[in-house]
Amino acid sequence: MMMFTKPHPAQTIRSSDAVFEVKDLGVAYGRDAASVQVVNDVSLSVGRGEALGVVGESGCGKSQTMLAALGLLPRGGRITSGQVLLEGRNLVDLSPREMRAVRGSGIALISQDALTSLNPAMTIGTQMAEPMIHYGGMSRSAARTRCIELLDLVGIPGAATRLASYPHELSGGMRQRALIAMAISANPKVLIADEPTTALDVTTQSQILRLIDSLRKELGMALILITHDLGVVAGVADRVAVLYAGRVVETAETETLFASPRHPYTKALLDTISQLEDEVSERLNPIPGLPPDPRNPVQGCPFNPRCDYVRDVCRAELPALADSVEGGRHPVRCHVDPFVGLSLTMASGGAR
Amino acid sequence: MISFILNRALQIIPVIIGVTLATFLLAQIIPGDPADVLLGSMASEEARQQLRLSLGLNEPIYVQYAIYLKNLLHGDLGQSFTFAQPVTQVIVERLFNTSLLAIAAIILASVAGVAAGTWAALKPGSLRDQGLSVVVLFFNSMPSFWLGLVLILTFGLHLRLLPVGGMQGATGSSGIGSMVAHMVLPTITLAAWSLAVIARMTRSAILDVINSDYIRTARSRGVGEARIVLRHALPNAMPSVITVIGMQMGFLLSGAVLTETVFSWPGIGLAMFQAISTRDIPLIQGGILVLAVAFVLINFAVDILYAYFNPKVKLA
Amino acid sequence: MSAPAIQLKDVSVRFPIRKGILRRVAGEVHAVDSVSFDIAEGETVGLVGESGSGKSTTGRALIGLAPLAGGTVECFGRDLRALRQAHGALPRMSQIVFQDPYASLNPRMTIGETLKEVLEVHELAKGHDADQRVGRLLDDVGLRRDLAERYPHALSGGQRQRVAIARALAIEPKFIVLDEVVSALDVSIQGQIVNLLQDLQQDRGLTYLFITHDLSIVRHVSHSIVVMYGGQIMEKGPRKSIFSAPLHPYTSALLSAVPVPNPRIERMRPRIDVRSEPPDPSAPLPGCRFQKSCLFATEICRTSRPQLRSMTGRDPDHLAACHHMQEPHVREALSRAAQGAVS
Repeated sequence: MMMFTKPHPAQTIRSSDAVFEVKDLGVAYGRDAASVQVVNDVSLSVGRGEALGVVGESGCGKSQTMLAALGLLPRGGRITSGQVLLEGRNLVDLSPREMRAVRGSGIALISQDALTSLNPAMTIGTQMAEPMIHYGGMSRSAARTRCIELLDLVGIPGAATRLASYPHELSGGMRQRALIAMAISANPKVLIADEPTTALDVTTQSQILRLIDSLRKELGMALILITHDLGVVAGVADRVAVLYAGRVVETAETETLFASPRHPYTKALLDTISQLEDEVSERLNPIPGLPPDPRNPVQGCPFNPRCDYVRDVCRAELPALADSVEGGRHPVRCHVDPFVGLSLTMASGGAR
Repeated sequence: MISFILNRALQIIPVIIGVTLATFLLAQIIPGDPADVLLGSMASEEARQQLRLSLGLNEPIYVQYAIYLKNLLHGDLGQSFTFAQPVTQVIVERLFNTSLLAIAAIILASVAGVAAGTWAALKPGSLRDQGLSVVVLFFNSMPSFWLGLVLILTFGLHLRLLPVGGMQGATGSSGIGSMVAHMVLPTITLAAWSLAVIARMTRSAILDVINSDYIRTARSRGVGEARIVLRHALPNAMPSVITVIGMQMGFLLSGAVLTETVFSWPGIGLAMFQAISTRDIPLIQGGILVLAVAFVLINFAVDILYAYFNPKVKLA
Repeated sequence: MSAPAIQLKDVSVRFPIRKGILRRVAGEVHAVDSVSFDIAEGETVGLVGESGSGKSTTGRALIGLAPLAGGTVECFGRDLRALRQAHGALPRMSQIVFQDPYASLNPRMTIGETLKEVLEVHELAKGHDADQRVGRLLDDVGLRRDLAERYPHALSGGQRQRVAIARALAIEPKFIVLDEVVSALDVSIQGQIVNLLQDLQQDRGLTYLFITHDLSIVRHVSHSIVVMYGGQIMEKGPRKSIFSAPLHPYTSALLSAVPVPNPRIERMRPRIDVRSEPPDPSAPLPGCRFQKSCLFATEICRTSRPQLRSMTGRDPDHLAACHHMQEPHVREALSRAAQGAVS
């Protein structure tokens, strides 16, 4: 069994300690009147060896934030404001050539679906070795040795023979492992894992998650774990940021967030999950209404149409992400802040 | 892979049988008595009966087909009266010339087409991309005989840079330079249409795959844009490009008839043109048969190439 | 107790593998192998397993979408095969809803047209009458009536899944197979769909087979659980008993793999691991299907196939197919893992 130690208590991470930071990032698609803002004022930071969970539902902007950070926004997308800092260096200003050099060795990405994320026309070995040979200056044989080493590291049995396999010849779990091996091949400082387990079976999910977590500790990488599943971050993340409608609505240390969530959205998500474990006859109390649509932004707080604690001010003004209660350690974007000061037990027996 | 190739090879057999049946029936449904055609309307009834007997035209149709097949297996396609030679000989002599032209054209069309399409796909929406669309539209909307004539007028008669027609063998007095010079204009003429189609297909196929997750993976590992397009996008776009190239090869064979006529290129196309104008039915039959079989074999080759570029097909 | 609504007895489904030039049958995929379970009327059975476990094929076989290689399926007391022979097609008592409603809705038809088509094909309603029924169906699944004018792409994932449910309800079935119906949806929307399904079940006495790999949802909706692995049933029984004290190592592994939304528990709990890839369904090994992945496998697991049986002193309806489930060291490991998962 693994030991879970926390290398950095969250509150000690000041921005100078952060290896990777996103500051006031905005991302939009289209121009002028047709422009759709999908990410707004998002600020995140993660320290060396730390794991940050970024949680939100589809369309909340979590993946767009990370693609923007990697300079990989699809056509039509652009950064409208803010900075992306890797060890203090602003990536937004870099030329395409400089940015290319950052990818892989500075920031690496593991995406959701390993089948579509691996080139179907190339063997695993060829695609793994490509950046090593052509950008890392390795010889073919050195790259081969390194690939075998990496496949061993991620737990693929018979690594040497697997190099000649095509992606479709591997099982889902093996493909995801190969994708992870590729992501860590250039010793990145930051590893972004975008829903790395969503497409997998439950038993494989838990193995892949533990693999990513142990690699993070072994290699001292900062990990950003993007997911819609709060259960996934519970086991891995040191801190969690909850995104809703393109904005951070709450960040806290993982244990604090699960024990005493402050934003009504976070609270409702947690309730939904825990209710699922209840008796068969009991009705769930799901979050009503539809997920936010970035094409039709809501006036005021974006969660107000679905919120149980809504007041007039919520419909008029967007709340700031702030925390005066806990000295900035647990900022929340809510006018009402309904659970503040309540213990968990009181909160769960409260208004809902 | 071996079993895949064998499998496809077996599928060819019924197609070839169908082709022989079609060419055989072609002669049957063409109006007029072959004996009339061969001997002219002034021939005596006796001579015509003689010929009918010797050609087996009085036999039942299935017997005629059997005879046709038997002759075919012996390489006997009948006698061409236009050339006063066996059809087989006429075709064999010209097959090389046509192949030379067609292969040169398909190589030009594929290489230039894929290159142009890839070049445009590197920067979609840019000036060069829009320029390519215009060129594609121009080539696609222009009949090949007209392009041939324009080229002859410009480069042959006006600029006097290149010969306007005929063909020169590499072994001839003026050597390989002259052969190439004679090939330039007909090759361009024949390739133009296909080049445009292949360029357009390559561009759209690359743009289809460039948004794939695995392209994003490669980019996220620091692979440069040129490698992305050439090593990742292009191979995955190739199956659809190859399909189009295969279809173009069939088209080139029929395009050769016109091009060879315009440039007096001594190939099967020119011979077919002459055969059609003189109703030389055995030669028409033989020409169609050879072109059809060539078409089938090209498709076979395309299938194998397709499988080579798409590892998953081999398993199917 | 009355006879169960749905009864599977030794159901097997096999698919041929074709190979070579002549496409001759070179082998068979044993997708489902001697599966038996019942679903009581008005109740839900949760069918759990990973990809390749045969859970979806079982669901399809139940409504006649996959051919039976052996065994019988009885729907409300009538044999599926006999029904098929008598009617040529299956009567309108069972329906299926799939994971991805986007793929199963025609993008060129409005929601109203899609629903109306079902009513007209089955000659349930026509013209104005059908329009009325479409409106009521949309009411039933909690969608606004004006959505009938929309196309599938204009709807959210949750709305599309509601449409798929409405389409299944259109022919007024008594039994619905729900194949991963909430897996692709956001957590907040999953809850809404689960509520809808449970309301419909209560109002109409519907019987469900709920197929999923997601154990937390299956736990909430099911009355009893069937766990499949490699085409066979590993364990089945009442929900409570399965979740609180699983008998089979595979069930236990599944439970301990589900992340618990509580950081302290999630980081400390013991786990039972699955050690290898799922078995190859075209070359089934003798003995237990789970042998290669099992922490407790011994010689007997490689030679003899364990039968489903109950455990002494436990609920007699709770069955598992494991040679070692009675042994103390297995029980102890499993119960430790289960405690972590429950709290």
